[in-house]
Amino acid sequence: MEVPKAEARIISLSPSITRVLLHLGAREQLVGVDRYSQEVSGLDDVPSLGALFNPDIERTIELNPTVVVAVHSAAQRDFFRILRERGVRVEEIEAYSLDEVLTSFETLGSLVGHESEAEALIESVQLELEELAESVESVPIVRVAIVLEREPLYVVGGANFINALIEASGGENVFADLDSPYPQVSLETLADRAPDVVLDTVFDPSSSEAPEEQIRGFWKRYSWVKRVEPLRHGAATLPGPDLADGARQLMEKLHPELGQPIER
Amino acid sequence: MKRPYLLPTLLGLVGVAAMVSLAIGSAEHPTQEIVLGIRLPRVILGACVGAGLATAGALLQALLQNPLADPFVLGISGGAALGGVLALALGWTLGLGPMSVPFFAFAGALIATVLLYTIAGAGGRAPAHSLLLTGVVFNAFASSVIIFLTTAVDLSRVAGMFLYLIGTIRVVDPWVIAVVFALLLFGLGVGMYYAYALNLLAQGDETAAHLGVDVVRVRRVILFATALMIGASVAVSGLIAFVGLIVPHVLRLILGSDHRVLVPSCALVGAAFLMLADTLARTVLAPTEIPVGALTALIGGPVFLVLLRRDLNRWVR
Repeated sequence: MEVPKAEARIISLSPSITRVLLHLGAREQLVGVDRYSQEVSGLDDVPSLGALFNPDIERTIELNPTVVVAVHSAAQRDFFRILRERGVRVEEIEAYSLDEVLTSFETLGSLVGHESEAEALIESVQLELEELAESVESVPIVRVAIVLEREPLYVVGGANFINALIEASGGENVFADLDSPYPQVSLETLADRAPDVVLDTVFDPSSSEAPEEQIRGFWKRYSWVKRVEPLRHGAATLPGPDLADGARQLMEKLHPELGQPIER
Repeated sequence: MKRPYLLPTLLGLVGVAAMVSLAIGSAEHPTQEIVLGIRLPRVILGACVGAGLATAGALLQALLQNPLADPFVLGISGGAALGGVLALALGWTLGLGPMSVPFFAFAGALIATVLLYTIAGAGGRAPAHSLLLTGVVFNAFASSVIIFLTTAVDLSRVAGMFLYLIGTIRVVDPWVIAVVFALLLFGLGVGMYYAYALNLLAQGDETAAHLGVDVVRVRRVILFATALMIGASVAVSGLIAFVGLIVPHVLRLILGSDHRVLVPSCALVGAAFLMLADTLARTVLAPTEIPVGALTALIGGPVFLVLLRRDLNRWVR
């Protein structure tokens, strides 16, 4: 049975997907979200279905959704199967590269009947990234490694949208040749690739110690680390509607000499 | 092999293994900083952990008079793993930074050992079967708690916990290596001091007692000395499987079961074995690393089955 898109009852099980849906103006269609979406987007009045990887199946069915959108995951196959058996459309988003992320905006737009908003979002992201890239054209390129986990060491690889953000912000990812979004690499390889700057996302923002101190405390024992900066998880590391802001944040980290880029 | 040649041969083996391990890595242009700052500490730590696990395995097999005993059978490792995972899961640091996990793991190992000795001690006699049974039950309990923790904590911490449980040699600060090395030397010293008593213990508790061995004392001292070695190894590198089982067994086949020869040989061969295994783990899929514990299990499982089959054949005939 085809439900008119405007009447779609949507459940989103990923904070990034939720942010995109809200940006596209689908607030009224959201009937349930995961716990993190609730926190990130301040959706106190939308029911929570629990954490990302173990949503509550009974609550989900009770909310009578027509569409459930989630990040693709083998661990949730049974959960998705149960929903599909009950006639719920399950859309699994698997987006790593910038192109895939932009295509996912289109998919989400068409799910909720907000195709033109999605198109506008894609165009504005592309335009802003191009403008940013032009603005740093004459600046020397900074070689960077972005650390997502320290032990084991996970970094941003070539198949990751963050790689494209790095390039737009006047940087070069030292792991761009690794054809995986989140490759696990050895410490030795990191030293061998000798980045000009290491952007580390691993720190406790609620700690009394400043992120800079926490991160320097870890990396100071390696003399080959030239410069290390904390990178807060957010626009630059999560595939949301504010990718261009993420690229600008990266530019500030990579080229502190340029000062704040002009906000659009 | 003739006795006079044994020590130089084994020392040579350790030397070659160390050289190979230092020469090979994932870096395409290994600078002095990479070799000395990253590879060397890891190679030394691998050697200490390998030696500790193999020695502890040999000592526990003798102590428990059970060929299946390994460093992880007595619940000491379960206690260490539980301590380490608790620190990872709950973010306990005590201001120790990256060393908080090893600290809690070592504390866990010691607490588990004291518990083990209290529960299974039976008035100080600590009979082998009650130690084994208590250890197995404690390990099962520890792993249930660990599984519970992995489902309850934030997803971003699970990768680290998983890696820790499989066992991996990390790059740690020099003082940590020094502590592990000191505990290894202590355990090895105790093992060699009681090596002859262990030979007699292999004849059974009563025979050993008649021959003048203070069975209760030997068992207690060896138990705590091995606990220190196991605790230190598991604290820094997690549960690296099979080293403590395979190395003593292979050496028993080649050298016989005189513990005065076997115990130091296990230390040296265990060191060489884990250095080489970790070198493989670092390089096979470079730039990605495999946890060395997965690799030793992969090698160790089949090797152990072959040994067991040989043993069984001999037994039947």
